[in-house]
Amino acid sequence: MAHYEANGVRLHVQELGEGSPVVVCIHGLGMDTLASFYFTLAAPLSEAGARVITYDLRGHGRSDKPLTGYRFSDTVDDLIALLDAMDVDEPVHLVGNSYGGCIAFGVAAAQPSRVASITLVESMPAFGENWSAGIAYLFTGEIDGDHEDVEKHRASVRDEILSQSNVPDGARVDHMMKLSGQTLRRTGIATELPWSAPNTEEEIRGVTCPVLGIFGSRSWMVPLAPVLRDVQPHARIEVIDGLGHFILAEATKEVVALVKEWVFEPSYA
Amino acid sequence: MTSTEVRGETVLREIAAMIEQILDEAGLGETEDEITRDTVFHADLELQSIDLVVLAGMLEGEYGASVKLAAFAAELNAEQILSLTVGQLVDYVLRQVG
Repeated sequence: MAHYEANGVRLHVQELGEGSPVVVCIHGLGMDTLASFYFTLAAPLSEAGARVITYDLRGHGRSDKPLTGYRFSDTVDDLIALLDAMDVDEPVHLVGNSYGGCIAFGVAAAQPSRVASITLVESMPAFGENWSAGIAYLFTGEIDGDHEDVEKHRASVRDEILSQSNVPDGARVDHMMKLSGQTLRRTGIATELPWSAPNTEEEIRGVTCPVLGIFGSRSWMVPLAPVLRDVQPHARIEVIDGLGHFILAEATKEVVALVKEWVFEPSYA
Repeated sequence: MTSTEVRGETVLREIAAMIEQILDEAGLGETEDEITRDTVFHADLELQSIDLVVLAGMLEGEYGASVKLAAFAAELNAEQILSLTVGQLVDYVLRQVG
């Protein structure tokens, strides 16, 4: 297993392919790890000629799980430091799933010259009060409230997750929530992330690299697509019919095809 | 036993040892039942997909670069990955290394 020291933590990295272009995959929060990309996008993109870098966010997978250091800016700084540690000096194509897209925009806002393009997979840039409130809502059950409230909250989150999947499997969702709960309880994510400053709207509007947004037609993110269009008028938006939040796992072939075309035959070039 | 069957048994034992190592490192302890071809990674061993990434590295180290679990998994859908058995992996390794 390869680990790199970045921003004071050891991050677990898996690479496939070499050379250029470089695609960096950023996974989501809680139950997610680099495996979501390793077993989907990584092989086909590397076979097509890309160097694909996947990594576990701090607090996730096989990366360090410090108790603190989970502000939004920490997760952005981690990726910038990782690119430094790996001596990646050409602009990279960032692909972010769910929360991973927030980090992608954070990096592009902080260091525009490092980013060739951004692909959001069921994701939005992190800005505005609603973003913090949304993250806080997901984590509420882990932070406070009496036991009954916590159980009620978890049951409602569970129902929402189930409704987002095209292959609803209660046992699988229970398992995902168990993993997520472990991550949240063992780290400061739930107490730090929602209360940390996201990007400003001006910063997001200032991102000039090409942006592709891929959504599921019945996901909880797709109502935000017009907001993405507003702050990034040139963004290309693709909606995969009939699917919810989990398009990376449930519509892998469609997502791979879109990202492959985006990286290798860009219409924006 | 034919030589192919013997080779299959050997690879099964080698992969079982790798799995035991991952379970041990993940603090999941030893498996109650023997690992067989029918053992399901997720349901029987409680291995997560991130554990399979670690296994992928071990497989490549043992059998060479032609054994790429990422490429094998890219042909499967999410449900098929969750129901992956040890035997399927043994067969894949045998196909790749002959």
